[in-house]
Amino acid sequence: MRQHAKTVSLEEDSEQIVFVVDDDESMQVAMTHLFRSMNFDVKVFGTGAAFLESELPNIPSCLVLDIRLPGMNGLEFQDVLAKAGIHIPIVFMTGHGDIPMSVKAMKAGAIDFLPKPFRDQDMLDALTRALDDDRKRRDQEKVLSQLRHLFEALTPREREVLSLVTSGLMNKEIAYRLKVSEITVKIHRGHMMKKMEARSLVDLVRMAEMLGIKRTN
Amino acid sequence: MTGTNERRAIGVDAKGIGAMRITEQPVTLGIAGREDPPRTTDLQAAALLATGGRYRWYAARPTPLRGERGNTVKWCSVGIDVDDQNVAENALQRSEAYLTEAQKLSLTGGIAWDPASDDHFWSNETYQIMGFDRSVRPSMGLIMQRVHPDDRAHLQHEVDRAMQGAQNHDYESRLLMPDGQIKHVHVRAHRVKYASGKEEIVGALMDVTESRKAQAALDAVQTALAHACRMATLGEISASIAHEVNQPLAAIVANGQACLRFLSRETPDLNYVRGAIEWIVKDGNRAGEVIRRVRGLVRKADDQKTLLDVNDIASEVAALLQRELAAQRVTLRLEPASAMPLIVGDRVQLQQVIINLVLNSVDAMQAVTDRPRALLIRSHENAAHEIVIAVKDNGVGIPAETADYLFDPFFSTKPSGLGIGLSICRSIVGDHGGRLWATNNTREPGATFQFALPSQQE
Repeated sequence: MRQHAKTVSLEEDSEQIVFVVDDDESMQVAMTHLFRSMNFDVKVFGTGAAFLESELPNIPSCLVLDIRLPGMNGLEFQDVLAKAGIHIPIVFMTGHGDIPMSVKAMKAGAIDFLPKPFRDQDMLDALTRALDDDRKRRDQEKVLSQLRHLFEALTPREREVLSLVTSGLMNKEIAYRLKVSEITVKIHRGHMMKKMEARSLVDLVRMAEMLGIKRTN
Repeated sequence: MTGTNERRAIGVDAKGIGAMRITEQPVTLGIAGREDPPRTTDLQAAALLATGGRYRWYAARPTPLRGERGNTVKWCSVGIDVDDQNVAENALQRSEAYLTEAQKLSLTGGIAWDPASDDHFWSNETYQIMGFDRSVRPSMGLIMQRVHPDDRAHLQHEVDRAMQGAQNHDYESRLLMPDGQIKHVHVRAHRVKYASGKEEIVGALMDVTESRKAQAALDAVQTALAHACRMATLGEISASIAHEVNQPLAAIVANGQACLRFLSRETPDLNYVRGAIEWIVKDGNRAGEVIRRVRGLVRKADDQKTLLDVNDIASEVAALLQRELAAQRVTLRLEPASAMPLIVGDRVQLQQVIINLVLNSVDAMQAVTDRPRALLIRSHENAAHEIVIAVKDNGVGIPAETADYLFDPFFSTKPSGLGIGLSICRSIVGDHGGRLWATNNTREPGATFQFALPSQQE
């Protein structure tokens, strides 16, 4: 049922990709076959370094990572990615179910930890979750960058008004604080709401939170 | 003698004796002039003051010198210095006390036996060990009664040797106590010829039950340890096998799953399926290659073959399984052939084989209630100079329908059996250049499992 639903959604939004990092050629081939059979685009790498060097497309993606890699192990590579600001969801695979390792990986934000050989349904579930997470994160990032764009278009005075309004102050109080008339505050406020494309005060408060604007008391 | 010089001693009269220090009763010395002479003329001991300031013991024998009317004129006495003898007696007493304590402490009893008169002497501790009251008169019959039935023949053999004049005896025997407890005693004795011409077998018997128990426990622990060490090595190897084999295995599984998905599409993608299957074959072969490589490695790492006597191994196994066999009420008899050539093999592995066969037999005898459960381990050298060990039971035997699968891995007739025991046995025996086979007994119930190993001929 679930698989069927997934296939449908894939057709709506096929722009997504699964990356695989595994040093074993057989596993690279097998994962390519399996993920193709699940209708995913796949790209495999033999090492973490090769993955870092490649240009990553700006579409929902996730990484299936073998915990046991030559040179740098999967956990270390997870750390490298986090430090480089690459927020790609990771599904780990391990040859021998190592509990301390899996705990570490999960704490560091891994989506799942699958022992090899894994059930295809488990992998499909993990990939679905990983790609959904990445899609949500990307959507959020898109919204945020739009918000930043809108916020940057505000005048210094309008930004001040935004901060004071979202802190819960009345127009009268804002006028007093800014030493302007209440009518001027109302004009700034109107422009600001329009420029931010905010439909209501609640909407504006949410935007302020996303932008990380501090409340003034 | 007295510490005074002889001239002075001779001149000493009865009055002089009065000057002697009398220390022990009933020592009385008759004094000259006294009307009632002492009845005893043989005084046991008296102490005489010596010039060195130390008392010495003397035996004095006063004799009255009678006058014409029969009256005592004079007392004459000869003093014999018995001081050294007394010291020796004390030392002997002390030494006997030491011996008694030592016997008690070391659980060792003294024994003496005169084969000619059949007189027996037992020390206190011997009575203790044998579990008889001191009032009982020791005899060979009493000893035989106490000795474990299985060991009576051997004791008889020692008795016969003694009758034929054997000089030394050194053997172990078991005692079956009235409460069913079994004691192990070590007997050591020698023929002693006395000046009188009388001959005796004199020696000691030591209760070594605790030490035998400790030894058995130690042996069991050592075997377990050897096994554990091997298992640890095996564990390390299997971790590496796990990874090496798991990789192609995971690839095979993933490819197989991909195939199923490709095939279940409305228009199956046969090209993909073919590609995936080609890889499945390739990875399957790769996994097989890993296993072949690892097996070679295990064989090398585990090669601990030495010169061995199979009878030793059989008796070690018997000792190891004694408890288990007793618990299952199985009587084990060992019939080792004497003067067998040695074989080259791995002690622990061959122990495992015999243990496996014995435990299988024990299982096969579980259903037996109408006859004693009897197990026999027998060894012999066959015409081809192979050493054959046979484990024969009187259990239910091998059903015809399972005979062909007995040695197959994962075949088991037991509900909880893994079915790897006999298959491992056969591969161990095979590794030793031998063969393992099983037959039902022809004239009696039960089965016989036996294996033949090449002997090490000079």
